[in-house]
Amino acid sequence: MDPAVRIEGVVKRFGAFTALDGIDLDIRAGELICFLGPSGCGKTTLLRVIAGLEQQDAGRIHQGGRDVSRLPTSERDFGIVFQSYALFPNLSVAENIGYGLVNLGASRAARISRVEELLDLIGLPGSGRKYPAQLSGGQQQRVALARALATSPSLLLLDEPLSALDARVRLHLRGEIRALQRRLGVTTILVTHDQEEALTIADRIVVMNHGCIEQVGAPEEVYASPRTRFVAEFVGTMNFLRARVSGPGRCAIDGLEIPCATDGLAQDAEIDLAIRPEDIRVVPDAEPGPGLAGEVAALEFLGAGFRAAIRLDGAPDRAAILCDLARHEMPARRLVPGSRCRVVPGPAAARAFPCA
Amino acid sequence: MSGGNGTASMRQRLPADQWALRGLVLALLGLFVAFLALPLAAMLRKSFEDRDGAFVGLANYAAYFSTPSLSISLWNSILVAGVTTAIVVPLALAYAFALTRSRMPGQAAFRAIVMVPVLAPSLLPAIALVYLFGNQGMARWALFGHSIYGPIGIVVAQVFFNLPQAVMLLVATLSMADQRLYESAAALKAPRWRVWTTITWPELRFGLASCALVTFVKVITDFGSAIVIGGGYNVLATDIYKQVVGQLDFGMGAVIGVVLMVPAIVAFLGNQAIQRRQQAVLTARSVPYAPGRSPGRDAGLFVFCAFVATFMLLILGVAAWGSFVTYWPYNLSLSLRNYDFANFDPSGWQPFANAIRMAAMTAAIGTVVVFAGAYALEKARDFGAITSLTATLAMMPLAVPGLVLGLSYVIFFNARANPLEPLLGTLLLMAIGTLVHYYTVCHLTAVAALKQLDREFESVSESLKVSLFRTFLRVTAPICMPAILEIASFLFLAAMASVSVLIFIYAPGTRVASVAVVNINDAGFTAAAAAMATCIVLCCATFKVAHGVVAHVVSLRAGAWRRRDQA
Repeated sequence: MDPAVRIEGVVKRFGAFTALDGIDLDIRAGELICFLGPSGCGKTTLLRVIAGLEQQDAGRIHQGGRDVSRLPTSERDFGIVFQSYALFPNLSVAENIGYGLVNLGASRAARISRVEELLDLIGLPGSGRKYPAQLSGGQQQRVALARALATSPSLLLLDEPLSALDARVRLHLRGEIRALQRRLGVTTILVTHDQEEALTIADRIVVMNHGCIEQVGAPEEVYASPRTRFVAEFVGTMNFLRARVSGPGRCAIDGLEIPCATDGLAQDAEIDLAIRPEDIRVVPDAEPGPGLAGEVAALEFLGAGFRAAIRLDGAPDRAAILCDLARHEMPARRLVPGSRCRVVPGPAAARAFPCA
Repeated sequence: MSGGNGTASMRQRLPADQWALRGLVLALLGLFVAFLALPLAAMLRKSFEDRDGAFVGLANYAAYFSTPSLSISLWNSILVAGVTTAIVVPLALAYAFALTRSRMPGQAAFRAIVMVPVLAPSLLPAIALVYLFGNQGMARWALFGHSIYGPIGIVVAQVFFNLPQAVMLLVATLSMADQRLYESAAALKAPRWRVWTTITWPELRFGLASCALVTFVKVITDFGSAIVIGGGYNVLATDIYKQVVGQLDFGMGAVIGVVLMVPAIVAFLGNQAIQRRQQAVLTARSVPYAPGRSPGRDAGLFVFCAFVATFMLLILGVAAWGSFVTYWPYNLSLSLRNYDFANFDPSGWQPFANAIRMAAMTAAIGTVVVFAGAYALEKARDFGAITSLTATLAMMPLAVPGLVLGLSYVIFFNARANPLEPLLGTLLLMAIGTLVHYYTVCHLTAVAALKQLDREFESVSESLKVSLFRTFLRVTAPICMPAILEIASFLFLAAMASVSVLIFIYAPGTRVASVAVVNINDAGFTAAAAAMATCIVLCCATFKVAHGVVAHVVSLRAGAWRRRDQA
């Protein structure tokens, strides 16, 4: 099947600053894809290039098999929701939602019924006569979504649509957007800097940094197998432990051998071993077995469990490594700040990156 | 770097809306070229020519600076402007402080009273002073033998006339105070003098400098006060008038015009520099300053403001009262005799009708041009050099005194080869001249209003395939209606009261009221001049009230959608 959107070699510069440095990407029909990255990474610029709101300096955009690179925004087929929503404050909710329907040639009755339908879809039936300022932030966001969907575009662009909302509303709307997108099957691009949001909502994530794509993949894939050190650091929480390649598929920290992929790394090369906090076990010092000895520096209660910061022996200048413990594990471990303990990296959970 | 496509092939096709916006920008650029840049260039050229149009290099300038009777005016102007500024700035500071940083009672009334001179032509205070302290003035004794005709009269009239603008500038500066800074200072136990040196003064100094510059230039370039009450005391503005109208020496007039532009340009550049630096002082989310209780301070400020307000109302009142006195000082009975303008001037009431027509034209044309122009300048894409050139030209009128603009029009449009020559003497050209003269203030008002709108409105309407012009009419213009009304009202009042732009470019049939005041006064009919000036004030006041009513209705209708915190 042809991709819904194909991006080929897109370059965008603002003066001396290169915002997009040769982006190639295929977006599949019907998927929800997230552009994820820190601010200034080019994710919003890429979205605006796809919309035609910014003009690329090189490269092409194809949409539905058609080259739209040179088309102005008004001749492309998409709906967009901005971070600020950009609702027209002096028009009612119904007028906002119906704003793009006027020039489709639909009759007045057809327009009204379409607006009603959309109000039902976003769960705000009967709010058509209100003005945007009379709605909560979350409701305004949904109206903006309805306005973007009113003309049934084949592509929906969402530019940080949730970042202006309270944490609780954000979680709720995240689920709603996901459900709505599934129901309509509309190809959707969502720009966000919130890695948790991307992991929970996306079919695929595009991690970007400095105008380049670092990795494209399903959320589990990006989380479990980060391809670059940047992705490993940016998505989720990650510990980096200084280690040495001790053989094919193995590396060693203070004599403790840990299995990990070592493709392309020379024997005895210094590496950073990336391990997630939940992949590390913490055992009391008295318990026999392998592991790296250390001392609990701090304990943070997170509700569902604890996160321990453990300072390894012989590494006073290094940052403490973080380990997650389930709440039920705590009584048995009897850990308090200052406790001696050992940490045991889980099997097959680590990835090696050349030293930065 | 990937993608072998040439940059040229990537250029997006420009939508029709953008072509229209570019057309608007070009039209605006054309307006500035034809009615600002070319006339000024013609005037500059004229200053290097003799009476017959032959090039004489700097001979006119040499003649100007070697003629003591002419060059003395330069020093007179600087002296008068300096003294006026030294009086106006402290007065305005105290008055603005009382309006913004105290709990003085009657703040709304005091704020309204200080704006009264905006309704009047600059000749009005001078006429009032003639009544009070002139050769037959009722309070002549108060001058202890000094004459009001000359620097004293000019300074007093200018103080009256320039106070509103200075107060408004400083009110704007003082209102920007951030309550949180003062609370932090109090929490850190900073003594009063440190609060002043670290918070108040840094906020204030740019506003004060700007206020001083604006006042100085307005005095130097104003024409109305000096022509009425200057007597034998020559200043630059009256010299131009005498050279051009009296002696028909356009070359020398042009030289003085160029000289007059020097302080205006210096002040303009200074102001730009100040505003660039001031932006660093402002922060995004300030909490408005709420003055604390201090009965002593409030009482003192009340007395001061009452004194200033009395002075304002006295000047206005004397001019109005004098216009009804049958024959000053011999027959003090009140009558409408002085309003029968046909007795003093052959055109009778016609200048007043002309003025209203001209002011209405200025407001109608000007509001559309200014707002649509500002919109086009904000929204036209990838039109960089031309947009920024036009935006720069929109700021230039601030550096061109009205008298100089008017003079440059006479020189430019009078040229036989000029296809626009038929415009000279028409109300249309007078309206355009007034618009160009006051363009910058209006432009900045429009830009400020447009900048408050979400930048993505246009993106949204493009993505919904709705034309920008529909969005402009349905969304942008309605939201900006308060600013649009403000611009219309400002232009109408400015056109009614302004003299300096028009004094050179009217024809016998198109003379307007403010110019008639000068002529009638020149002819010695002070009372009739006062009557005409009073008519202007009444007309402006009526218009201002109407504007207030319309603005109120608009804001009521907008109340449905406007957030409470924005109201």
